[in-house]
Amino acid sequence: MKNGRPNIGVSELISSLLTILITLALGAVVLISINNYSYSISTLFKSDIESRQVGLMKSLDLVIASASKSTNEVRLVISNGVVRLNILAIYVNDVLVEGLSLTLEPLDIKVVEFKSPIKLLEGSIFRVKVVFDGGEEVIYGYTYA
Amino acid sequence: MATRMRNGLSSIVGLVLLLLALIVISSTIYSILHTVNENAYMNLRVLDRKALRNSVKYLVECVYKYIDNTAIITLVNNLPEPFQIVGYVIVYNNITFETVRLAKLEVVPPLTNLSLSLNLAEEPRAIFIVILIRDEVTHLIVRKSTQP
Repeated sequence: MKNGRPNIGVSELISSLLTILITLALGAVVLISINNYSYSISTLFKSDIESRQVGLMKSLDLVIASASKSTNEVRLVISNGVVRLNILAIYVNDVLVEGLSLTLEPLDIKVVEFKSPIKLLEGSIFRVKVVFDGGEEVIYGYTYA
Repeated sequence: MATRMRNGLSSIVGLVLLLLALIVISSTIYSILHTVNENAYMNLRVLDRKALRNSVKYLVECVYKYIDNTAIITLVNNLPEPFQIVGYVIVYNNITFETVRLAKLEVVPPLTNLSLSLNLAEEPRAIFIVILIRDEVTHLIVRKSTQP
């Protein structure tokens, strides 16, 4: 009993230990949450970088495109780089060519023929977009008679 | 000791906590900077790819002469790095395409002039040479020579 008040409570040593433990626990929670947050952001960035790296390994070149007005067929010459790639879609003037998917072997040069999804007029210029598993390429072609 | 503990945490505990915080913050900053740097490098590679294709078009000049069912292609190379000729694409007058694959034909600097001959069924409308440079595939347009 000191100054009329009961002398109750934890000792100074225990209170100090409790303060240290609480500070450590709070600090650990903050540090772990910061770490988790930065890890998730960096994983997201890394997966994006990895997919772009894979995309950069693949190279596709559209050499020439032409079309025939009478048959409405498009002929496209494509060449591939050193990695095998898949052509996922081809568009003529932004209209999808249905049912066309092919695989190109390394250093392949191929003539691809397909029916145009739109009517091509003689002397007109059309745009062919090829989407592959490493990006996309665009070429302009000319329609002959 | 008892007096110091009454005032707060011991200086050693404080220092350890400070050190831990510094380690975590610096490692987080390092990882963010590293990722940003990698991202910038990727962007640079994409730009480099476009620049490479453009430089090939400007620094390699190709012309052909058609004599007796043979196209004689003269390639003037000003590129400072080697490239490989993968094949040819020949366009005939009836707009049919013929592709010719080559086994492996390296053009290594300081080789500046190269003559290639190609047997053809008829005079072509256009010739393209497909080349591979730094794992990047692109093509060269072979123009008809204006010289007799």
